[in-house]
Amino acid sequence: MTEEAQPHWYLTLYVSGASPNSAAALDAVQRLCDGELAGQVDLQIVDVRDQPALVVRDNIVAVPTLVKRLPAPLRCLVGDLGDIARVRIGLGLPAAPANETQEQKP
Amino acid sequence: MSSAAAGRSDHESLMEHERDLLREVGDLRAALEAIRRGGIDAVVLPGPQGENLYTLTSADRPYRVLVEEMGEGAATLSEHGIVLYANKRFADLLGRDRADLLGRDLTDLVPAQDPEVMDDLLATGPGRTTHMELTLVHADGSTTPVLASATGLDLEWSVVRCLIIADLTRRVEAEELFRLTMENATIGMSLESPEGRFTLVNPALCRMLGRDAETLMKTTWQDVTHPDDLAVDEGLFDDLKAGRIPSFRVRKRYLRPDGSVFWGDLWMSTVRNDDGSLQSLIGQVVDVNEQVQATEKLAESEKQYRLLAENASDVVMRLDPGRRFEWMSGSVADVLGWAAPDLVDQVVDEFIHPDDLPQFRQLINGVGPGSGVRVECRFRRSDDTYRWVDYRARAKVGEDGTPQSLVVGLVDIEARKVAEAKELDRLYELERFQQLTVGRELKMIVLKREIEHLKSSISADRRDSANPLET
Repeated sequence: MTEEAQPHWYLTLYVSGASPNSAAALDAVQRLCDGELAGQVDLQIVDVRDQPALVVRDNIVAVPTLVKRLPAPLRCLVGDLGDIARVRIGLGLPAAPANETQEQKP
Repeated sequence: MSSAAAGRSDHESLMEHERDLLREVGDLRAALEAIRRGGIDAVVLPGPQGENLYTLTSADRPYRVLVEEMGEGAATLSEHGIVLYANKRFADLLGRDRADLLGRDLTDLVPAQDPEVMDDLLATGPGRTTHMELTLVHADGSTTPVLASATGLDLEWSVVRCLIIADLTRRVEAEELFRLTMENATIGMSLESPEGRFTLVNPALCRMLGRDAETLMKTTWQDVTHPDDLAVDEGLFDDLKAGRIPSFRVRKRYLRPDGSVFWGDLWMSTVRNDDGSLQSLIGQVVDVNEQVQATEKLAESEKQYRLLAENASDVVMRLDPGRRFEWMSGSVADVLGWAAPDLVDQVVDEFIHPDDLPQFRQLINGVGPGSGVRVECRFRRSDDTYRWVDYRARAKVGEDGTPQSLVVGLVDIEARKVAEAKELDRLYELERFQQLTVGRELKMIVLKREIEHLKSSISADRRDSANPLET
């Protein structure tokens, strides 16, 4: 695949301050974006206390939630976002090698 | 398009829709599973006034730890001031066990002079924050000054106040130290607004400027500055405020209410905010009134003496240790024909008659600290003739004993010397005359004796001639 053909991701991660699941989600998603998807992701992080309008717009029912707008289709991953394997499936990425997956799940 | 092709397209569209639905169902199942297993921190549910966020208890733990361990005291108060929660630091600041605080009325924990402050804090409405300084009372009666920040929080069933208190003990101690420094400083100290109004003054400055603190703080530095110094001072203040200079020092005159002048050495600097804007001006004034007055008296006295010397018939001179003229009174022109500037930097020896120079040097070299010499010598005039002068010199020495200058008084004694010479000539003539007179007297005596002798001889001869038988 050429560089021009690489997909670009538009992601929004909804969190609730430094709560444990939100912190784990932020850590996992940020590492994925800075590593394997470096340069291919526009990641917006939203604290639901600060931007309630976005919560309504995206029909958020629980946090943490990761919303994938592009590439289509639109998908919402709710909870357990520290599970990197689940996040990869949600983003349409191939499964990571077993040792890497293991590393992501403490 | 054939009906077979259209049927295939509908079928593919339905298949794709089915895949989307299955994926969405999968996501929802996963979300439900995550909620069931505690994989979320909060749920968002619609309410009558918009979305409500319900945080799960376990999700609050980081905040609870943060509040428990924070360096400032934190408490939650009921609408009526009852302590619902307090962290360890809050209990420490009150010197009590945390368990003892829960359920206590906070108004019991502050001294009587602060109830109004407490009322204001407890009246803080939802969404508002109030900051107040108050004093907490320990169980042993000792107190702790604190800064309290209360934020109103509407919990639907009640309005509570979240209270944060910061220990101000060190700040109060620093303020007390600053106050003592200001109170006991011997120099005048002040803080001034950028416009020049005194905002803080110490007793020393009040004494210097002859005004009490209350009066002084209603005035500006311009109001108490001597009108003749105002223009210079305003230029310096403008440079200081604009940041062109970091500080300045100026000796200036202040005006007291009774119209008298006070001299002070003023040091000015600034206190600036983080953005560089001017917060305050800091002034320090050292009393130099007596020093300036003494200098003025000395200058006046010197002026009088100089005037006296300029108008005296005698010549007054100051020579450096190398006997070079430094200064002389104007009468030198009348006495010796020289213009004073022509003599400056010349060595005095060059003006002494060569016959008088050895004695002059011998005597002048013997001048010591506190002693003086006097020598009569001939001083060369501007027309190269010499004039007799009475030369009196006294050495002026520094604090370390080294000679700094010779102060010389020079009196014209030409007329006296001429008179003395004439008198000497007359005495000489008289002496000669006397010697002559005495010689004649002696000769007369000798002649008289010779005459007497001759007379005696003649008489004897006559007697012998008259009586020849007797022979």
